[in-house]
Amino acid sequence: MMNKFTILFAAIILAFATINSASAQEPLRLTLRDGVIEALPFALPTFQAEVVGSEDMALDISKVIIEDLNGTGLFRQISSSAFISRPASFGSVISFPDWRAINAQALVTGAVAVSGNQVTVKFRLYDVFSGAEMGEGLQFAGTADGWRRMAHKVSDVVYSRITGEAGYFDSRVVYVAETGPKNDRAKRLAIMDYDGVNVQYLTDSSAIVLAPRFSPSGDRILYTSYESGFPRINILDVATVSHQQMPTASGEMAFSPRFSRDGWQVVYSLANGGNTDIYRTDLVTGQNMRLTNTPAIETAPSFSPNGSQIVFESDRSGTQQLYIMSSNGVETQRISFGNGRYGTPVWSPRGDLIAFTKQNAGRFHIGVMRTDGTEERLLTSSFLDEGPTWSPNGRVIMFARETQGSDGTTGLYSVDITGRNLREVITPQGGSDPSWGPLQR
Amino acid sequence: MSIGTTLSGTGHVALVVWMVVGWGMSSDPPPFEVMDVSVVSGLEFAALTQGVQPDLPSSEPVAIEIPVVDQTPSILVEQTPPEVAELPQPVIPPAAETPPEAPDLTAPETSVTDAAPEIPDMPQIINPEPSAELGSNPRPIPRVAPRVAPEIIAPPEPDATVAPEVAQAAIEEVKATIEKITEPAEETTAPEAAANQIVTEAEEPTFAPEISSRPKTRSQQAAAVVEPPNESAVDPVAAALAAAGLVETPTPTQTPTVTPRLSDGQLSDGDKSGFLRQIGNCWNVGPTSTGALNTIVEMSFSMTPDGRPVEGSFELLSSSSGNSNDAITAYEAARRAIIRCKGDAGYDLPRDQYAQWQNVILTVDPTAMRNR
Repeated sequence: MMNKFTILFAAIILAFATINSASAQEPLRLTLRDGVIEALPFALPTFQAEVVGSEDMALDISKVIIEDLNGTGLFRQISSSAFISRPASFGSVISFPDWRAINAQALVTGAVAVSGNQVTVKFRLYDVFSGAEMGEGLQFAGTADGWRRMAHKVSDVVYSRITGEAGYFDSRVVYVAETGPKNDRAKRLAIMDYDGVNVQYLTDSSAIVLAPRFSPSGDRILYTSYESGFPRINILDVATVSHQQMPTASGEMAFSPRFSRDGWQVVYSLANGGNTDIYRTDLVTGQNMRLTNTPAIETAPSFSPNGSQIVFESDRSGTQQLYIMSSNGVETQRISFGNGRYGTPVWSPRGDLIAFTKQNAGRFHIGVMRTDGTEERLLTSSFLDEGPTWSPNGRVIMFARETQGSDGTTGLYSVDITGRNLREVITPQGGSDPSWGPLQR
Repeated sequence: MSIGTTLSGTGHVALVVWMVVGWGMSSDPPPFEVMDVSVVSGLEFAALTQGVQPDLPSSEPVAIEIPVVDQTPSILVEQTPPEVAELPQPVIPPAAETPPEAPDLTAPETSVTDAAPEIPDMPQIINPEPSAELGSNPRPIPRVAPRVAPEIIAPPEPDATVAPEVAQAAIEEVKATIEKITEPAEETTAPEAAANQIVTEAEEPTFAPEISSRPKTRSQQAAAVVEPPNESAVDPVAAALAAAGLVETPTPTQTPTVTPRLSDGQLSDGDKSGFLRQIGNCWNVGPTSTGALNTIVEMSFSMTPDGRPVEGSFELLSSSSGNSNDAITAYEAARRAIIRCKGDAGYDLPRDQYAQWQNVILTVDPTAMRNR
């Protein structure tokens, strides 16, 4: 009896094993390497006005969001004339087949309500082909004066949810606004939104100003001023537009400053007795530290994101090249070995790349390389491109471009780190020396 | 006497003498201010102070002037408007440049009529005269090659063929013939016919294209094409036997209706590459973060028999580099591509080999796309 049960049990197990082995098919293994690189088509019906009188604001906000996303080169708006249907209301059911039919891959719906001086913007983002919402809907509120910031914030969220990295639309740029001919150019510090809107001037043109640099928190600006006749470093408080000068000994020239990532240290160049070296000053204790000590010209220092290293330019090898040293000035190593001269290095916020200006064969380029100097890629080429600055997310580089000739003009441009989407940033006057600030809070 | 005792005694004597003589000690008291006072009794003091409040300090705190503190606007949050930094001093903007004269954008007057537009005379197409050098034949002319054989060798005699008829033969001879015929004939290669000219690789005709401009054909999935039976495929042996009256007249051999796939049941490379190509058409890495472009992910999903991915079956198995956000971004981009490119009819995969592609493990490697 026992044997029969044992045999029966074994037979059942064997049968199951046989069935499983027959049905368990080895999965098909494939490797996908070839894709396409193109702008993602998205649809954004004009945000709905939830309150009478909000129509204009809804239209304006919708336009800014579309301009933000189109401006990245990563997205492409589908013309509203191609829309088959529109959402009846903000919370209504989305007819995804209508959006699939026009090949919209992302859909942004939203609504605006204006009540007195208060504006409320809410939106939702959909993945059309999955027929699902990407993240939850969000709502921003503020005063009517800040409507552009609310639009930029919507763009930041949409950008972030689709690309997987933070946006950069709700940010500001400080730069040197330039007017007048090349040989008599008036320069003022100016601050603007990332897209060149809302320009405000921080200094007058009584003294030459150079190389403004935002602090990591965006509340202060370092810049070089010639108001005393010699280059000195000023620290400007953005909120009060008041400034104070960093102490510099008589006869010394201080320039090319930059904040550390924590905002409490400044690295800069100090020229004394014909020699230019890099120094570091602690803004809390006031202590100075000399980081380089060579007869060469060393300038344009820039901290790594973690503050442990500094990249700078030096002509100690005979030509202008890029070097990296520790934040204490030791373990210096050269990282640029290509033809031409390298300068104005800036460490990316992500820490993986260094942007620079390169001069070679009579042309100027903006390029990027890895922190060990490999994988150098030149993104632009012109008569004069210089002064790169990173967007807060490390995806876009803004720089200054000057055209040739005595009547040449200066302007600001931006380019994606892939080298695509070169765009001019429209400013009221010419501009140079841009410094991109952090995302506003 | 010890020195100490002498010094002590001398010191004490000197002190006594100094005190007796009084050097340095004036007996006159220091001058001081003298004020007249009057002594009153308690009753008299009460009478004097009755009805008079003491002059006490006020209980109200002294108003302290508050120093003016610069009101620093706080950093904007979502509920507040953007900061407007005040100018340190009014800056006179530069004089506006005179804008250039706007071009005349007025559209020229046009008239709209219903008349059909006039069609200009069609130019006559004149065929060019054939080139004198090339002649009328556009094909490239091969160059004259050196002779490789002094004499033309006659082609070999044709292979012997089996006589179609076997008549009046003895059965033994027929059987012997059958055995002889059924032996697999060795393939003999006829000597190449010698020609009076040859074209070597180094002397390819000028202007000849190196590769064909014709598009490559798709992989032939329909390998199981049923070829029509060949009428001449009658077994000659059977025919000979039939002629001898030994067997019945043979019928043409029937070709199997389904030819097995060359891949022996496995999904062909063409099918695999075609599947990847279909997904790749929708795999857009343009709007992908730079971190995700450096991340290789492995994902799995299932397919329905009609070639559609099961949307609930997607799973991120692993990622080789990058942080979790980058891995998820890369995975989502690939997932969206797979869902989007299935089309209305599903992916073009051999339906009869569903078991081969029912479950898919896809490695997504965008690193090669970074520098494109």
